[in-house]
Amino acid sequence: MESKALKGSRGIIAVIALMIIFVGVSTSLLQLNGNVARGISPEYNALAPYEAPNNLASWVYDYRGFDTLIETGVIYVGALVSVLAIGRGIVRTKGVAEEAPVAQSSMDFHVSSLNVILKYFGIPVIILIVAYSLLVLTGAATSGGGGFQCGVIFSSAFLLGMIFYGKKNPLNLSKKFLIGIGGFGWALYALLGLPGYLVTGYWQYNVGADLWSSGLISGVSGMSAVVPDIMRQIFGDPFRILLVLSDGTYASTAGIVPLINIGEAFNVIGAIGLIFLVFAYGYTDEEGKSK
Amino acid sequence: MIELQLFPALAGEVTPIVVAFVLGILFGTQLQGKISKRMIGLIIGLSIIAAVLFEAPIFTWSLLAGFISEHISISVAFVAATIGMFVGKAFRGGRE
Repeated sequence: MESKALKGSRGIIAVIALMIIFVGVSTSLLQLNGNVARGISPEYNALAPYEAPNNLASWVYDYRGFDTLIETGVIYVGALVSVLAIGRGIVRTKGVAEEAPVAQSSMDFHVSSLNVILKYFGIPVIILIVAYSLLVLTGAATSGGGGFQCGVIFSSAFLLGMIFYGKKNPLNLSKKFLIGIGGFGWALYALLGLPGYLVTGYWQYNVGADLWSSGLISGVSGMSAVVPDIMRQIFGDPFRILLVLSDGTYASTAGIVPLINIGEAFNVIGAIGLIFLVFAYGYTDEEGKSK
Repeated sequence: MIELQLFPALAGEVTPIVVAFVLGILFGTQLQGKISKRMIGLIIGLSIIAAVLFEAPIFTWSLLAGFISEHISISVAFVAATIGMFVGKAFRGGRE
């Protein structure tokens, strides 16, 4: 931003806003002095491992599942808006609609055998990266993986194929497929809140794990069991594992967290894949023209 | 430490493998072009090597889930995803 843009009323507003932020942050830091309200975090930190070995998954998709749902929506909407705003496509912008994004001659100029390597190793690498993304997805509750990571890894395979092979990308994801899978993922994530709402009144209550009223956790009392056994079995049993901890062995389940991660992964694959596709080839290319 | 159990495996150990296979089929339908049998063999071989390196998920105790011993296990979900992609390609992904 140029300095001229901050002159006049804009500059005054900017200075006032910065002063408010500075005063607010400064006084907050001065008031800390060891008196931080701890909130419910310690309790949930103690409970979360009994739901899934990956504590982060419990936090992000169970405790803060509602927040993550909206963030997921932001990604999808952000992708669509980006595509609509500046998704003309580098290939179309350069006026070489039929040419692959990577020029073959430039690669031959440096290393004559490079294209052969790319040609024969591109497909295995792309397929193995996709398989790895699915491994990361299925390990959402038991490892550091999850839907976000799966979507990003999968999209990197898509981008790799696009760079290597251009429009002959072995992983041929169409705009229709990407938009559809992204929307389906978001809808799946949102609708997984319905069972919890119907039985407890809380949207996205984890009916499979049911930490608060299942009696799994000793010392947590005062809550009556509200989730019917059939709901626990439907959403909990498919993901039940034997959790061996220092204080005992528990047959715990992540409940709806792995399912939410599938929706999350679909959404991220759709959003990021769409950005890659449309930024490279443009939104009205081929499919759009046929309509 | 829990000893290796052949059967029954808890559902949570098997479900990720099934999910990986089904999603592999889904995304395998989006593959295009021809892949030779030699290439398929190479990719499955590489995926088995990768599966040994990735190991089975934590808290899996059955052979079905890839657990062999405390330090040796296989990520069956990875191999299932790879095979699923080829199955999906056989279903619908053979188009040029």
